[in-house]
Amino acid sequence: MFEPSGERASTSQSGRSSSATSVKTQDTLPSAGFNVAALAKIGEQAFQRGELVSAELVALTYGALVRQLFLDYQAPEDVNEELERIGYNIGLRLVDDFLARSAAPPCRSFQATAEIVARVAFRMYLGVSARPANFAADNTAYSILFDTNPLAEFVEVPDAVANTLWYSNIFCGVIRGALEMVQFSVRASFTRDMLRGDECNEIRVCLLRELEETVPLDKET
Amino acid sequence: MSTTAMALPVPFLQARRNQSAHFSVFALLFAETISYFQNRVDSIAELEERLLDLGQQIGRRVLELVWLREKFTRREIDVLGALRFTTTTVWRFLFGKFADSLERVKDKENEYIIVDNTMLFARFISVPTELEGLNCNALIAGIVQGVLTASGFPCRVDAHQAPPADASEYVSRSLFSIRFLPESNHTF
Amino acid sequence: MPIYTVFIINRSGGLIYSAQFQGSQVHPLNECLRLASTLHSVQQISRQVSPVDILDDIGLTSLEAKTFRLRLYQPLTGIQFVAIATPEVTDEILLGILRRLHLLYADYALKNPFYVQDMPIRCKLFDIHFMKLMKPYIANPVE
Repeated sequence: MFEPSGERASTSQSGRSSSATSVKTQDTLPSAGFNVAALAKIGEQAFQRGELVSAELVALTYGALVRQLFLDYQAPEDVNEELERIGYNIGLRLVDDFLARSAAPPCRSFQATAEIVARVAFRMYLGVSARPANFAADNTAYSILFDTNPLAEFVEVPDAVANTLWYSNIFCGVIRGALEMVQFSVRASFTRDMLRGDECNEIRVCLLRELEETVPLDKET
Repeated sequence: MSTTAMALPVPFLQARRNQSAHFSVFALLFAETISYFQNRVDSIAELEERLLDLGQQIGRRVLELVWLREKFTRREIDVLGALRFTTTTVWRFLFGKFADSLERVKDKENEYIIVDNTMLFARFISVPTELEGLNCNALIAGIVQGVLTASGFPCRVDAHQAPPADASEYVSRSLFSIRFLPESNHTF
Repeated sequence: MPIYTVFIINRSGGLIYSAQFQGSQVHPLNECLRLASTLHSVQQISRQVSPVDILDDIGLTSLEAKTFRLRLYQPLTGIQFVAIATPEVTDEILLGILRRLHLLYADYALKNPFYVQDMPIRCKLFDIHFMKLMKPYIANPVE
């Protein structure tokens, strides 16, 4: 049921060289040279083709995990940190799933990751739309905006922690872990959250450094 | 209980229906949850107990959600009704299908077994030899226990593994044994 | 049209999975480890000697010899999947197999909480599904 089709295999192979050349330009094209509609379609197709599970079950499982972290850590700051760490571990592993299951063109520039994460990954894994925005002038930061957050579907954050807890902080970790695996060391953090009454959810992704592609990633170096 | 301990999400009636997520998301969340507990326990039994506890929390909310979704207006009044509700409606919410069978344990008034031949939640997980005997379906057992207990039938649920029904399949059958506690005022 | 050997090599050049099938000369494990790390280095070097910009070239992907064909598939994460087969097995077939192997790795290794990333893959379910994938292409498995 998960077998990649032959035609998909060739898409991503041939897409490699063409898109890689176009995204290297430093002009701040918000789409980083990608066809936005095509990306959305890739994400939607990967979502439809994938095996699906009730998003509510995911939300309830995540909620139970957050509750568990509160019991274990108490301080909301620590819970934020632990959620980010858990997300990071997921991101490190999710990225291979993404590369194997989606026909997304490769991210050869930091800018390109914004498009891929927002338009393909969010759609493919959560069935929701997200969009990249607020690119920094020097291309070292961007935001991912989304209006529907499946994880926070049923949540009411208690007043006591409403201004300290980032309930969906796991997203930040997932983005950091996944991008690190494709050579971008980043820091991601929530800047707006609809659970706090903001009009949309915003995750700010800042590039710390690009890891050297040809040198094997090693924890010691 | 500390005041900062957060209540689990409560389902709202206006929540969208039929929203789905990719299974990979659930599988990785499940895997990380197991890792999280694994670093905090000393034994396999304790790990299963933590998963069971977490499952119970989920199960209670699942029940509320299913009631809202299915617009059920009455509560099941006997054990058998609650079990059938679990193996059909709740199972479909969790796994998109019904459980394969529900049996009463021979000679036991208050013990039942739910059998599922294709329980796919833990299907990517190979338990290493040093953790031989660990059953990650303890989470599902916890969900079942949570659902039944919240329905008014306190019980203890354990997960067991059995060889696959069909030898050509690699997914082992999952059994959930349910032992109702005396305070489940069941009417047989 | 048999496949002789399959390797999975991690980002640092360490061999994390290997299978050798009947019909081939069977190499001892330490030789496989050396082979894998050499192959990894050659792959890295092949990117650097590329006459065009490095971003556009993914380096060595296949190697043909009189008695075998080697196909290498490396997703962006840097992990390498390698298959060595008789020359008549086409590149497309090998690439297809390696892509499916990548999927198995993403599922049965990475979604297993007891698997540590970059370490040798010792997962029963991975082995089972790996053999299922290889079955049409091998005579009799040696190990």
